Amino acid sequence: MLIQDHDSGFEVRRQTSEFFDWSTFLITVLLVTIGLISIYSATYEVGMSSRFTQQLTFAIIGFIAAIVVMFLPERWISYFTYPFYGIVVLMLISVLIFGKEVNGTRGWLALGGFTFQPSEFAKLSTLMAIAKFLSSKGVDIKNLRDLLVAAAIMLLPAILIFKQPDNGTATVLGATFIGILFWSGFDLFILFTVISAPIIALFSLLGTAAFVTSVSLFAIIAGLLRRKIWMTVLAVVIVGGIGFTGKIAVDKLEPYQKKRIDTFLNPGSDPRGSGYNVIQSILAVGGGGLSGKGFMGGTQTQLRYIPAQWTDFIFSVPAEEFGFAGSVLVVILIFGFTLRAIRIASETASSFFSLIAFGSAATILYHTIINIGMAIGMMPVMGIPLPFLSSGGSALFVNLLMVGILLNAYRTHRRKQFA
Amino acid sequence: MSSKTKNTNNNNDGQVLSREYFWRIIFVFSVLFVGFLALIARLVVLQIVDTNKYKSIARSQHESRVNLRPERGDILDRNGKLLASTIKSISFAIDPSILKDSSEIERICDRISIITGQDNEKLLSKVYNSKGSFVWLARGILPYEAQGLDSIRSKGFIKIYEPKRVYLYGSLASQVIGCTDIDNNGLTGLELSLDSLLKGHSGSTIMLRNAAGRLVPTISTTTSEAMNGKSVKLTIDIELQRIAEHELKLGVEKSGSEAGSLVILDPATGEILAMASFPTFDPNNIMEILPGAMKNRAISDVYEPGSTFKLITAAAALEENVITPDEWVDGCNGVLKFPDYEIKDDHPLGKVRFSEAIEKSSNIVFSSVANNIPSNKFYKYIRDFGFGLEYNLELHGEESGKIKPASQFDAVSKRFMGFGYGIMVTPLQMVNAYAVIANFGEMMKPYVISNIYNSNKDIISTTKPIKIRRVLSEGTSKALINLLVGVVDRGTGIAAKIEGLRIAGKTGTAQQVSSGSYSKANYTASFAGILPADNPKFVMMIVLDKPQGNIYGGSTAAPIFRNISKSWITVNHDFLNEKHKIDNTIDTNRFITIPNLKGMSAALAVKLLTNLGIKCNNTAKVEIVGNQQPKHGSLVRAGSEVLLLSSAKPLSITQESLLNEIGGLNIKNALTILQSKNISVRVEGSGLVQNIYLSKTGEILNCRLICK
Repeated sequence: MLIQDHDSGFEVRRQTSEFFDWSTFLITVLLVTIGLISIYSATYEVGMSSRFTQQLTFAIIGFIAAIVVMFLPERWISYFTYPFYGIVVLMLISVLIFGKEVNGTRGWLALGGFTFQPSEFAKLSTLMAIAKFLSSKGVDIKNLRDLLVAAAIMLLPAILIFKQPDNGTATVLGATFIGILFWSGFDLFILFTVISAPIIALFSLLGTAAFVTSVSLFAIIAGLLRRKIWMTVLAVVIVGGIGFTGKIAVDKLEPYQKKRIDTFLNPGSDPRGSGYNVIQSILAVGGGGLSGKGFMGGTQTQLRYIPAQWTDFIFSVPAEEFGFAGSVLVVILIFGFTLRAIRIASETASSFFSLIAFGSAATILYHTIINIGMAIGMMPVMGIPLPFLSSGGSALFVNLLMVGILLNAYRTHRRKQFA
Repeated sequence: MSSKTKNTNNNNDGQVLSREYFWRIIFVFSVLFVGFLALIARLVVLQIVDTNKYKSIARSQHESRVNLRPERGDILDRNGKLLASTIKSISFAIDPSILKDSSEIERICDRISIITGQDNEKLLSKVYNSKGSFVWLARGILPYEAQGLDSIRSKGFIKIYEPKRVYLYGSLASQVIGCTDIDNNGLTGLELSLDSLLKGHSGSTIMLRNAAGRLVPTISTTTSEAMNGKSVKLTIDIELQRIAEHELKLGVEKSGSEAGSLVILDPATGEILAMASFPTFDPNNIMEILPGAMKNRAISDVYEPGSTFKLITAAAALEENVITPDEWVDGCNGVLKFPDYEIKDDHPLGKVRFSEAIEKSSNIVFSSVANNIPSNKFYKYIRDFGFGLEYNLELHGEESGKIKPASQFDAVSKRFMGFGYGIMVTPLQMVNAYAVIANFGEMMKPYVISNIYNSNKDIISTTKPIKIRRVLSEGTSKALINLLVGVVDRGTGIAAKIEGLRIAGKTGTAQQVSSGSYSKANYTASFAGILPADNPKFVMMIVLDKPQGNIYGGSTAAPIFRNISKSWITVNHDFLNEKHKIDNTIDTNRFITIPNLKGMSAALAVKLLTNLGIKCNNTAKVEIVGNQQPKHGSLVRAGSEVLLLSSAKPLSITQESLLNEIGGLNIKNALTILQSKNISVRVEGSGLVQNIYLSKTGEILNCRLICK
């Protein structure tokens, strides 16, 4: 692209970096590549594995889509947002009726020769819809009515996904929503209280000491936010009450949900059952050591000790085969990606793109912490994939679309700056 | 709209919003930082601090120590023919706790019973009555036999691949080779005595076990390789063994014997070429073995040898100059009486030369000869010939036999020992005693293993022939062989004779002790033979236990020797060549005993001498050989000359000179000589010329020949 430099009168060739976000793009390419390598290793049998070729296909399609999205005018994207959201909600309804059941979850829709997961599309469509709504003229998050509308936009697909049942993905929508609320200037104190409640409920399950400690910690931070005393006390009481009733609530959960929580709290309690995957994954990660066992050399991976490792436990593959170096690289790349998204969110002139960018950062971060945390025994097993790495065409495609919007935001922001 | 605050600093709220924005960014980075740190910290703990712990847990989960079974070594015959080897076999079992479909069980059992011949009903009840989860149906089925079973793939029908020992020659040499049990541990024979050598050492390797519990083929880090068993090459020639066992079986059956055994040695080296016992067994089928069939009688049967032991008496007597072959001995006409016992000959002899006494196997003569040998000397020879001791073969079950110590030798025991009673020997000891004279006086240690190979077929050890001691002088040995040639040529061993070959041999027929006294019902018949007598290639001992009817070694055991030898000569080219050598070539290093040519036509004498490799000088142009130079029985180098002389002139004939000339000859030769002298003859008795009485009627000499 050529522009005139008015001061010097010289024509200068603009660097591509001025409109193309190389960092985000390259981080994405690296992450997808590591994912492909890991899927290859985890599913290698004789010759090429079909999961690898499938993932590769979706990566190529996804990157092409991302570049296309990057060059779309913002208003096209904005215009398309609500129809996209509507289509996905329709798909979420139809998946409950016609969906294919895989591992106890009715989350797959077959269309022609393809099967895809509407819930993965819901992650992006919901994010975009809330962003569009909140960036509309006259909408203010501090307005309770607008808050409720935004919440409803989130809750509709979340409930449909919860019905599949796919709680993990449902929580993603919640996490994304909280991220957007945060970025759109929602009251920090309320946000903090809302986030803390489930965490303290979880801690309460660990025992009285953990419960008391976590409530105290909450009280201190709440105090630091310097709100009115009665508000702080009320928040502490509410959060404490939720934590206190957490145990009772857990008893009413589905057995497999209860089991997952038990397993998370004490993976060794049921090594042959639901704790099995976590134990095997920890062995893979821990056994990887500093430099790993080498590509295709991971015993846990190659001997298939981790069921369906290529989906939710994909992190254990680079961690085992490339060791600490490999696992830290993955963590740094994803956090790097998050930072890039946050930076785009702060720099872009478009509040629509800004909210999408920050929401993307929140989504990716939430996925990452839950997924890697699960693979290394820090988080409950939730069935959330690792962005860009886990095998799964829908998730990869959606994530790359998201990257496309980020690239678009970068491009338009830069052009405005330079123009 | 408050989401964007950065570009609104000209706004009144600007400062407040900026501050809020700053805190939000701080908060975001804090969350990111904490999350990042938490993950990294956990990864440091897992992958750096505690990595060894997780590695070892993972290892204990997927590493599996697998025993590597060593391959059992092969057993080969002297020509490298495979006698015993190990092949892969399949064993079948059922897990009744998994396989419950009775039609499937019936199908499998039906198939198994067809293959193995087991009773179908029994198999089924074995399966149905089992409370466990593992029932053997059949073990060690060869892959080609298992057709129809390999296609059955029901869950709970278990196929296990196991090595199985196979004996390619079936029952041949089975007592030597032995057999193994179902788990391939040696049970008898060399399989037992060389068990640790053949078995090798099992190794182990670490194999990877996948999540499904299957062992995964990998380039594994083998901790210790299995040491495959060594292979063993025997001195046995399986073709000779085949002939020997066949003839032994026929001989045993023909004579009605209870059992029989046989050993064939190469006298020059001590190699055991064949070793057979009857009855025998098939080591491939150890479920059906007759009692006693596993016994290697050639080394574990002890018996009183009888006449075959006369070799030792003769050897001691000749070597100690107690007697010479031509010396006259008294056969006492078949009965030698002592105050409290008597010794009898089945074929009575009068006064004969010692050579004839051995040919006719006179107990009386040998008892007398033995009595004349000093006790300590006699004992020394018995010991030197290897009696009373084991050879420590690589085989189990070798017996030492039993001999009296020299201090217990007295006239009676010596007399009886002289013809083979009062002493217990094994066939192996006996055959090696004959091998001593076949090896010109030197005793070799018998052995059955020639080479040991490692699993790469490289020789790792070779047995070299071991000379134990010199027992006799070469001369005595040759003289003994000549005496034994006489036994086969015209004595008790004539049934062993093969035209065109000089064979030395000795028969034996010994009464067995039953319930404290020598019985007239149970005998041991035996024959020892050396072939060919002049350049011995093999020495054979055949022992038959309790032949019925014709009990003589000469008529039961000697034909076995003859049949084996004849068959062997026709298949063994070395032997054919050897026969040619004897016929055609003159080896000047060979010593030859001059035959007695007296009474033969010159043409016949020339033929005979040429056959033996001796030149014949008939410058006197005699027609009938009256005398010879050197005398018969003397040893000469091959290629030396024998001068033929005519008989003395009739006029100068005296009774004494004539007796010197024809005494001891057989009637036919004596008559030839006497006729050439124009002496008229009257013959009394039969056998060899013992005495003559000359009388003159005018010019005509009359001669009365007293023969025995």
